[in-house]
Order: sequence, then structure tokens, then C-alpha cells
Amino acid sequence: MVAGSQQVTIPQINPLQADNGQRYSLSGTVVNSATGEPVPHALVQFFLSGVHVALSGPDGRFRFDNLPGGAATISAQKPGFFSPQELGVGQARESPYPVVQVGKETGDIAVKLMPAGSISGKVTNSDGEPVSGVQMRIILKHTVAGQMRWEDRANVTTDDSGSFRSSGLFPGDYYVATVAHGVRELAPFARPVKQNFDEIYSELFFPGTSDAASATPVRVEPGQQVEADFSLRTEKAYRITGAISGGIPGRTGITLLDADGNQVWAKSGYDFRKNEFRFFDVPPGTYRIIATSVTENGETMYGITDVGVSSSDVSNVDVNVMPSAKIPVQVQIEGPQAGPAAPAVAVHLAPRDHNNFNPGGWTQGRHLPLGQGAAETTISNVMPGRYRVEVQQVAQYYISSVRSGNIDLTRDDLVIAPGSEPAPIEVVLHGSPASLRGTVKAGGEQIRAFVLVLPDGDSADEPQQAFTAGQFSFSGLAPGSYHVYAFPSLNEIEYENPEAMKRYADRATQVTLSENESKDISVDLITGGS
Amino acid sequence: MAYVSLDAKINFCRGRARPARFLDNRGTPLLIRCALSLLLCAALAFGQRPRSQTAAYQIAGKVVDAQSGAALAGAEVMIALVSDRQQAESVVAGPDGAFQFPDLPAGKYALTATHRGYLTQSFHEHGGYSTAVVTGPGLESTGLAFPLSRPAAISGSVIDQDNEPVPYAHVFLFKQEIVNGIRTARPIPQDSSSDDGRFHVSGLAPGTYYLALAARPWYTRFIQRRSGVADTPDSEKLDVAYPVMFYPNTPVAESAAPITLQPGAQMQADFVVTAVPAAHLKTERPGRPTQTRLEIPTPWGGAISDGTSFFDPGGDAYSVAPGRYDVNATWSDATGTHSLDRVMDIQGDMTIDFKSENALNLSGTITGAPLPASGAIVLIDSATGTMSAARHTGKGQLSWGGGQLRGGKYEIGLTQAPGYYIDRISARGAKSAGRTVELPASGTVALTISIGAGAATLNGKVEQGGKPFAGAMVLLLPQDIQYSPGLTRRDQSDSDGTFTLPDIVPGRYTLVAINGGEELEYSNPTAIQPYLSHGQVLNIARGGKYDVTANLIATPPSPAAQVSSTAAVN
Repeated sequence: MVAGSQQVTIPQINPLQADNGQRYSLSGTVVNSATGEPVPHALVQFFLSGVHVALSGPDGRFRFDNLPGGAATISAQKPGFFSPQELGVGQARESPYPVVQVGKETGDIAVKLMPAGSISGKVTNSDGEPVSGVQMRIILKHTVAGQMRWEDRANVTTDDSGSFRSSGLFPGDYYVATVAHGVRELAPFARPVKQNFDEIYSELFFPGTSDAASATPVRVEPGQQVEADFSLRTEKAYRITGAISGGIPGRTGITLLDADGNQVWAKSGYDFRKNEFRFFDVPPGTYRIIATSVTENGETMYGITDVGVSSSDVSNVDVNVMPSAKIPVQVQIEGPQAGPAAPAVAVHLAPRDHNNFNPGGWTQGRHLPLGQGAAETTISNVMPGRYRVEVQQVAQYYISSVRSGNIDLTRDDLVIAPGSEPAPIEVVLHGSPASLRGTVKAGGEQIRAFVLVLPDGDSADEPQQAFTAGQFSFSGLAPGSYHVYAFPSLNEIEYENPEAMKRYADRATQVTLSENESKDISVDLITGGS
Repeated sequence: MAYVSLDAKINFCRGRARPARFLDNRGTPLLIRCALSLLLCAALAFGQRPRSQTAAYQIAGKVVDAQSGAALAGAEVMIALVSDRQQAESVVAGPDGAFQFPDLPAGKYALTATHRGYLTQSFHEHGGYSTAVVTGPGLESTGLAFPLSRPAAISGSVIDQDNEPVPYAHVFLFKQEIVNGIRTARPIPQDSSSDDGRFHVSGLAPGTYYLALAARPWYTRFIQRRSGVADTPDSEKLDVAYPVMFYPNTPVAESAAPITLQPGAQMQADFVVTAVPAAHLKTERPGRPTQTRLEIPTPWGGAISDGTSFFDPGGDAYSVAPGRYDVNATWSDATGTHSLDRVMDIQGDMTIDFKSENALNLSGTITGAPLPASGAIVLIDSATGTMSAARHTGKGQLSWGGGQLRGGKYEIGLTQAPGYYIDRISARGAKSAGRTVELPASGTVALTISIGAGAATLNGKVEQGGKPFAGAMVLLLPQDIQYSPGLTRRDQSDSDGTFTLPDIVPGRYTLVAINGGEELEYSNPTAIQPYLSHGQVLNIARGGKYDVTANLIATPPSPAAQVSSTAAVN
């Protein structure tokens, strides 16, 4: 997809080739990979001793003359199509650019463009009237960095005829959903004379369910235009009103999250002077109100209040803003010490609550230089909530334990209560780490692969991964047993989820390491699904 | 009643930010878009009317289609107390379009209504003003007919000379309106066309519009001009641009035609753009980075300035279709910030050397009353109504950042300072008259601005044949309207004929109440002249409070002048 002002930089290969004075031509066709038809007026860029550009003709043909010989990369693009390099994103790290040898023997070449798909539809109410201004979510459920996620790929709004269209979609299975929307068009603060509740059009997932689990994705094939119409249902909705205490006037913000941690797009009002807030059009459910206040010196304070809405307005809700937690971090080293070139260890807090609202950053952490055998720091501005404490390994040490008081943070989450003063995070590193090296093979041949080393049971180690051209090496491993996996791509491998990895366990290689041990293994490439 | 536009539809409080027009010291509408101010939003959003035991009045009527008069079943109607808009409630009209708010205390209520497929409108809304409905003993507040208009829409496609869709074209829409008594074309922000070259503009109020379109061939974004790597001659073939296009599908600005949209109209406006070899404008930059902007002047007064088509290319040259552009630049050097504004016919390869250009340097000094902390001195462009606020150093010294201003006529105004007003101005280096200054394109101009305190208030009632008249346009016009149009105060009479004009600058005025004058260019001395002889001349004193009765004037006014009278001071 050509979008915005994105600039594509084409890598130059073999930049300095002997120019023997010979001149050649290169010609070809830009082809729609879904239909095989030529693509007219596509921009063809070709890199050989400079950038060569041309538009393909009405027949999709292009031609470059007076070229020196050599290897060159070629690229094509056009709005509504995905270029080869866009197709390569997230795939195994091979060059996504077709490489052409320019010379005597160069024949006619084909450059493929994949047409983008689109989802469009019409949103009506129970009377069949079009509903404008409804926000539509186009969601892809897929695995990112080893975790399954629902990711909004596009957001569009219905127009005056209730129609929406989301174009430029990569082929895939998409969930389509509406965002809850007030039935009344006038200002929501006006309470209807005869009703004591507001009314909203419920959130709906295609093909018409309010339950995400029973939603059906729509499949978008290359170049395909898929229709997804919605008939909205209404439900009663209510108001949540209250006040923020402890916040700094003029420096306080508030948001409403649903039970899944998603921000609720309820209409809202907030009076900075009185610190009073109001959310309108809130359907029954459980909610979390989060208020934040930033002090003059940049410290963030948080207030969190959970609220249940059933069949009436909820009023007088108090959200008490309190100073955020400061968590001391102490690192100790046991066993042999690394030399003066000792590295730094990084300790991170990764929020476990699915939560779009974490102004302190999705992950907070500190780097601690390990010069003196021990180190300490403080992580401040920590929002109340549940965190996984991640310690980034270094080659010279393995992680022996990570604790907070009695809590084993390698197994359990760190829970920060509002206004609390948490116990220090104590990290113990050990100077006798094990290491693992090996090769990935398929059919007896060494092969490029992504290698995952996952500890069994309660190891303090995080999963490790590396891309390898055939040989791999991991160090800084704790003693214990591991499963080693090799995949052609990590796309859709949910490696952060032990349950999801069980299907591959019998094709993984198991290895047990003790202190200071170094092992050399051979791993088979895992291909196909389960 | 001057009303606060609630922008009450669904985007309330979280919609796209839209420009606000704060013209509060000029008696003109205070249009507040809620997205800009959560505080105001909240102020509007709190509280509910406590039910009063003595409430005995009602507001009732029927919502009808403005064109056909047909009843609009299921329309939404909202009322809010003018004095306390927190107190709002709404009803849904019955199958016959009838609505009723029973048991209301006596008071002044703002009415707003909408219906699916209709615009959201205030009661008898005209140019930011509406008629409030007043309840109380002997007042008629039932049997109202609330007309709503259907919105119009414009859609179209943009293709190039090869019949290929042109993605991401910027659509420019201007609506012809009377703003502060001058007929002007107000830009209505629009998105760009979609990736398939289609655009759709909806929710348009009936009226007269102008439409233009700016686009860049998509592939020119991908042509790199990297240093060290010479572009091959191929890239020159792709160094092209599309001229700006005007409705109806013409690149010639003078051939642009207005579009008149009736309620519910669905207009089609297709464009075919033809790529032409680009002309280049290179900027020779002085020491500090320069910001340059290219604009295309339009016959209707608005300018087309598009960040995508005319984006600042850094050290590189602008690549644009050959033609006339308004080149606007700002740069800094050791002597300060400078600006330049020049119309250029850009052809072939051209260079501007800013060092050779003189810029306009404008400063000001405040005398009289000190400038209130919340207040701001603004220059109001007499042609477009756009405002440029001065920086106030705190010691009565004002400066305008370079690049904000171009030569032309400006009125000096004061905003956000209730009770204060601009008493008089004088200028060194420029001509001034009344509160208006004529700025040159370059040179140094120093203004002296005298601020007065103690604005006056005028309350009144519009009558026709001794009976209250609702919905009249009430204007308090300064004697020297030519040079001080900003002193004009405006309101629309409410259902009991009453109106309020606050923040009046002391001086001599004429008060007129006009029926059906919404299209009148009242800041134009020639247009307003026939009405003045029917009005009342008032001498408004500092801090005065006045109560007057204004007799309704028909449009057009009868030639026979009535005896004008001077109102008694309370």
C-alpha cells in the first residue's frame, strides 16, 4: 500500500561493480499477483548505479535502457497494492526485493504487486434507518512478540448514509465491530423528560453478536471487497458521576475502562474547577475509573476506583488520587564476578492488565551497571496494577532469583496497590551461567531459522530467541531443563503462552544444563502447524 | 438571543477539534466547539432542573421539515435555561411531530432540535443567533413550529488524464456567509479523498458554496532527490504536478462557479486532473530556518493552502504546477523575525532570495487602562475576518510575530476582556482611521492603543404595531461603521421580543431591528444606509445601562424616514 508520504529506501547491492562499458536494457511487466493481469501506471524503481524510475504503461510494461551490467534490486508500488517489500514485513529476514541480473542474458521480468482488500458495509438501526457517526473497528487477532493480541488495524466512521469502508487491508481474517453509540443525537446531558436512563446502540461484532467470543471473522482475500452489514440493537445505559479527590486542579485527567481494560468511548464531561466528572451512555457492566494527576515536578499520581453499573445511574463516586509507587530495585551477585567490563542488567515492569491507559509507558525499567557486585535503583511513577517483572539476561550471569518480600516474581506477578509503598525488588544473579550452542537442520541440511529457548517449570529465565543462519548460541542460562524450538518464522507462534507451546513440545529438543556447563546440540526445524 | 452553539450532535466532547471563533468583545456569536474546552463542556454538562412546585408553564410545538412543512415524527427536542444551560432536558416528538415540555418555571429557554437525516438546529437559527422561548404570565410559548432542514452533500471522483483514480486529493470547501456584517467565504475543514480517488462531504447546511481541489501525483512522493546519487533522466519525466482545480472541473480560478445547495441536495462534482511538468521554486535561506507557505488566491477571497501539495521541501525546491501563488515566508536573523508576502508567477526554475526582501515589523504600546491579564489585542483582517493576536510583554508593549501579517486593512480589537474596550488608536508608519489601520507590505509600524474601561449594556424589546416581535435581527451600529465595524453589537429578539446587547463601547450608535435581514451586509455603509434613517440614534456613555424599545423595520425598508429619537439614559 502506498500511503502518506512514506519513503521507500531500496538497499543497494553490489554497489561497486566493474563497468566494462557494455550497455543493456531491462524490460518487464508489473503484474497483479491475484489476477495475473498487468498493472498499469505503477511506479517501478530500480537500483543500479543510481535510482531508475518509470511508470508502467497502460499494458503494465516498463523498460530501462542504457544500463551497465550487474545485480540490481527492483521494486514496484501503486496505491491499492502491496509492494514486495511490504509483503516481506514480518517474514523471515530475507531480502524482499526481487533481484535481477542485468546483462546479455536478462530476459523479460515480472514484478508482482498484491492488491489490497477492503471491508465495507452499511449500519442501520432496528427501523432500517442508516446510523451515521458510528465508529467501526477492523480487528486482526494475531500473535505479536509471542503473545496473542486483538489489534485494531483500522478505525473508520459511518457516513451520512450509514456506510463505512476500510480499504488497504492485507489479506487475512478480520473481526469487524461497532463501537457503542448513543441513540440520541442531541447533547447527552439533556435528561429525557419521561425516561430515567439513556439509550445506546450496543457494541456489535460481525455477524451481529455482542459477545466477542462468538464473533466470526470475515476473510479478506487479495483484492477482494468484502461486505459486512450491521443491524444495531439498543440497550439501556446509565451515567456515572462523581468527584476526584487529591488531584491537582487543572492537571488531572480521567478515563473509563471496561472489564477487559479497553477504554470506553462514553461521552464525558469534566469540570476542572470542581474536579467533578460525569460519564454518559454507559451500558451495564463493571468498569474501572482511572484518574491521573501530574505534579509540578513531573510525578504522576493515580486514583483507581472500580464501579459496577446495573440498572440505575451511579453517583457520588470518589476517585482518590494518591502518589504513585516508588519501587526500590536491588541487584546482588553470587558466585564468580565478571571482570571490570561487567555489563548492565535491565529490570522492567511489564503491565499485565490489558490496559490502554498507562501514561508512565507500557514498560518501565532501569538499567543497572554491575560494577561493584551489587547495584540498586528506584523505579518511580508506577501506576497501581499488576506487573510481570522482567530481568534482561546478560551473558556473564544467570538469574538465580527475583523476589519482592515473600513473592517469587519469576512465577507470580507484582501487584501494586494504590498509595502503597512496595517492598524492594531483589534480584540475585549468579556468576556460573550455562551456555548452549548448536545448529538447526532440516533434512540433514543446516537451515535458517528462528530458535527459541524456553525454560521448563519455574525457571527465573525469560524465553530467549534468536535468528540464525544455521548455527546458534545462547549464554547466561540458569541451570535447569529447557525446550529448544526452531521455526521458519515466529509469526503466529504464541511462545509467551506455555499452553500454546505444548503442541510443538514433541518436536522440540529437550536439554538439561548445570552450572558452568556448555552444551552443543542439533535441533530439527519445526514446520507446519500441530 | 446570542447562543452558544453546542455542537450537540454525537461528537459532543470528543469530536474532532474545530476552530473556535472567540469574538466575544464584539457582540458577535461565541461559538464554542466543545472538543476545544472540556471545562466549558463540563459547565454545560452538569446538573438538572429541580422540579418546582410552582412550575406552571409549558413549551410545546411541532417539529416540521423546513421545506415541505411535513411533521417530523420522532424528532429530538432539547431545552436549556439560557441563564443556566446546565439545566437541560429533552423529549422525542410524537408521530405527528408534536413535542411538549410541561411544568416549566418561568424563564428564557434555548431550544435545539434534530432528527435522523436532518441538521441539528437552534430555534429559528440565523447566523449564530436564535430565538429563545420565554415562559411566564401572559406569554405565548406553545403552538411553536420548529423547522429543520435536511443537510446537503457533495460527492465526487478525482481521476487523472489516464483515467486512474487520484488518491489523497485535498478538498477545499468554502461557504458563503455574512460574518460580522461582511459577505465572506468561510473555509469548512475537509478531509482528503480516499485511496480510490473518491470524496464525500456531508452534513452541509443549505447555502452557497465554492469547491476546489489540490492534489499531487502520488508517485512524486517516492522520487528521491538524494545527494550523492544522481537521478537518472527517467525521474524528470515524473517531475510533474497537478494544477489546483475549481468547480466545475476547471483549472482556471476565474471560471470557478458557486454551488447552491438546497436542503437535502446530493451534488455530484467530478474532477479530471492533468499532470503538467512541474515548475520549481527554490528558497535561499538566511541563517535561521525559513518557513515558506504557498497559497493559491481564489476569486471568492479564500486562499487554498495545502500541506501536501505545497509542503515545505526543506532545502529543496517546491515542485508545483506553474501559475500564480501567494508566497508567504518567515525567517529569523540577528535582527529578529521577518516575514514576506508576495504574489509570484512561478514558471520554470525560480529562486527567492529572502535576504533581499524587506518585511513588515509591527509593534504596539498600550495607553489608558492596563490590558487585563486575560485580554488579548488582536488584528482583525478586514477582508477575511481572521485574527492575529499580539504578544504582550507585560509592560504595555505588544509585538506581532513575523509571518503572521501581510499588508492590508485591519481593525484593532480586544478579546477576552469583558468591561474593557479599545478607546482609540494611532499609528506611526501606517495610515489609521477609527480603529482600523492600513498596514504596508513592508516597513516598521508602531501602534498606540488606548484602552478604556466601563463597557455599557443595552436591554430592549422589539415591537411591531405595539406588539412584541420575535426573531428580528437587532443591530447597534457605530456612527463610523466604515472604520470600526467591530463596535457593532448584534442579537436576535426572543419570543417576547426582548434582546440584550452587552459590552458596548461608549459612543454614538444607531439601533435598528430588522425583519428578515439575515443576508444584509450591515458593515457595508451603502447596504445599511437605507435602514439607518428608520433607527434610533443612541449616545452610549461609559458603564451605562439602557432599556429601549425598537420598532421593527421591514426588508427592504420603506423609503419614508421616521423621526429618529435619542433614548433616555437610566
